[in-house]
Amino acid sequence: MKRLFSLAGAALVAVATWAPVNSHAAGVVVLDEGFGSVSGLSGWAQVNRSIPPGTGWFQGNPGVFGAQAGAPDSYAAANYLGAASGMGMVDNWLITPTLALNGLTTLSFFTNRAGDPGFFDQLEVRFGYGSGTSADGFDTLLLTIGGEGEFPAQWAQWTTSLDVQGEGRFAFRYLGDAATLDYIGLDSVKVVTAVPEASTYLMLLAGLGAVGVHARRARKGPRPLSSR
Amino acid sequence: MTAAKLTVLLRQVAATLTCALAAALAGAGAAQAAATVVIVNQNAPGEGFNDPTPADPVGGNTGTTLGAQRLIAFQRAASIWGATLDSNVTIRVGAAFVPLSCTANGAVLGAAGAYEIWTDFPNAPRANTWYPSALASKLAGEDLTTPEDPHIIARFNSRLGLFDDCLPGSPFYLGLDRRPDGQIDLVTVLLHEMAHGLGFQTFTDDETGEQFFGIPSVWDYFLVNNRTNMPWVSMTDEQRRISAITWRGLSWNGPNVTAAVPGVLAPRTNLNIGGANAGAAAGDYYVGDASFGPPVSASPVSGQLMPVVDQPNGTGLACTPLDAANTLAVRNNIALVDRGTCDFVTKARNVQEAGAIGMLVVDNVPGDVVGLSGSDPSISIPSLRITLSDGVAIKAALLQRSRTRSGVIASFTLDRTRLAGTDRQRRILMYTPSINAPGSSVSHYTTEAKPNQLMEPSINADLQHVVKPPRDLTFPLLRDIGW
Repeated sequence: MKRLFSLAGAALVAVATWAPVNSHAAGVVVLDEGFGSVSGLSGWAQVNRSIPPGTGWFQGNPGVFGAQAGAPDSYAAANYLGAASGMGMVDNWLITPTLALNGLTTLSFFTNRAGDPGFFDQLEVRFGYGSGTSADGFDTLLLTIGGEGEFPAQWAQWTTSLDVQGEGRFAFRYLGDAATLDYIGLDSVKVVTAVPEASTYLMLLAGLGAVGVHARRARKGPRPLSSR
Repeated sequence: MTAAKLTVLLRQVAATLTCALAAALAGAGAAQAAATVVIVNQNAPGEGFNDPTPADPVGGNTGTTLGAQRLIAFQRAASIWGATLDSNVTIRVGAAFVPLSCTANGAVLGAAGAYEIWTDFPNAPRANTWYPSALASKLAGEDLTTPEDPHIIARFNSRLGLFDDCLPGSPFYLGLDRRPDGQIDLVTVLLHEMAHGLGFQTFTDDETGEQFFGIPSVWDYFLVNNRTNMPWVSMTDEQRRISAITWRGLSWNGPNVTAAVPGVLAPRTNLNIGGANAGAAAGDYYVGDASFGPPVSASPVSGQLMPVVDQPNGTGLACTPLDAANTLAVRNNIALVDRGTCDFVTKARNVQEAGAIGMLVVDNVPGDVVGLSGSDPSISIPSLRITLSDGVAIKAALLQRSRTRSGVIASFTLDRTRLAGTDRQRRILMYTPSINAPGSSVSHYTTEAKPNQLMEPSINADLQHVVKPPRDLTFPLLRDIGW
């Protein structure tokens, strides 16, 4: 089963999936982050490309809402002050560590927003090959939450899958006109990738994967898998 | 001992601040206390107390020229002091209206001090100690000063409120009814300046700590470092210099003042910062009280603290009606605004109209705790002021906010364990700003007293022409030094 998926997915699959995360239970968990300490994150990167830059991603504020799991403040948050003083354009990135991926890979996470009426938060989820943190490298848009689509004002889980071989990073990008933004949270980020195969097979897939990277840049309006 | 006298120039010794003047005398007075205070009018013809500009009677002041009204106000202040003090030597106050330092936003209202100081006069309570001449004469039972000289010299700002560079629109109020309505109450200023001349000052240099001619002032025996209890008179010059710029570091340790403090001063107003996201900002803060709006009382005002942001640099002045986003932020919350550009009541009115339940003003320059001045009966929410450094710390915790929630809770309450403007031994603090204010530092009470005291360095609108308990601690201090 797993092998079949790997072969079929040689080209990048950049769409949200409706399948629950645990349907890929045969995979290996390469990232499982609950944000107990945002400032103490290991291997993660933050890039604030806002104009003008203000506050980065920060420890969750339980006075706004509590975490999806763990201690009340154990989530990562971003707000309209990503652009200094809340005036300007927010473009605030939180990037996972470099992950060794091995075929079909599923990213799942929970997100939430403050939900004050009149504001429209927007979160993009992107993928980039390699270990870089340059925005140019994250040219694969996996999900857009909010903006023109729905962004629930309660913790909701989202998943997305892609087939990829080699190193890569996922990026959470909070963006928009600061005047329209409010506050969002991110929790329980989990990445599961396929179990490694024999080395020759891996090399073959790596080559195929590289060819397929730019094949699709789908943008859909996904909906939350579940919420609570 | 040989009596020694020094005639000192106002600039060298006179303590400072607010003003004094006038003529007249308090008659033999009703109660047992009685002294006569008279003006030695030092203005030239046509100026100051002699200004012939016609004036309409105001607030019980029946004078018909500006000069006459100034004299009548002086007489009122002189009679209040005359009824309070006890001396068989008439106290002469050399007074004049002259130009004093001014800006559009602030002004020296007046300056006054002893004209002469004495040591080792007959009946001097302490040897080798400077006393102001009015007190020295009282204690000696005879006028030590030559009749043509005053005991006190006082200067008042002749340009106040009359020019664009001198608090435009806020001239002296010459009425006697304590209704200055935004103007500067002259009788209050006169009472304050006369007190300096009577002895509410040190003759030791507050900037260098050096004693005048190496001799301590009677004041210096009662001024103590409230951590070590060492009196000024026992310190080195350097220790005095440092103590004079140690905020909350010097107290008055005189028996009359300390006994009166519990009956005069009210519990300290406290700001508590708490809530899920307060982080390092959590805790209690010193605050300045507002002269407008309801005073902080036993029933606390508590709510989410939310900043107003209406400036590109991230500050919020709230000088104009709040926009939609700021209105959403402060509604049913406590608004955090920055000092600057407009007066405090304007800010309070704007956040109140946006639905805020309280206002916390952050200073815009480094310094110590100061109150919020102004008057507006329409303000119904309490306001407090904090220092710039405290404001910076609290604002850091607010960066993680949403549009309506910060997770930082501000509570305006009373601290019943402490009286406003006192040290831990319940002694009143003196005015020792971190940056020395020559002539003002040390020779005033703290600005943190509540209710405001006559001998604070600035004149507040709630003063009531009273110099004694249970309202005021000026006379007890004069009693401590020998009156």
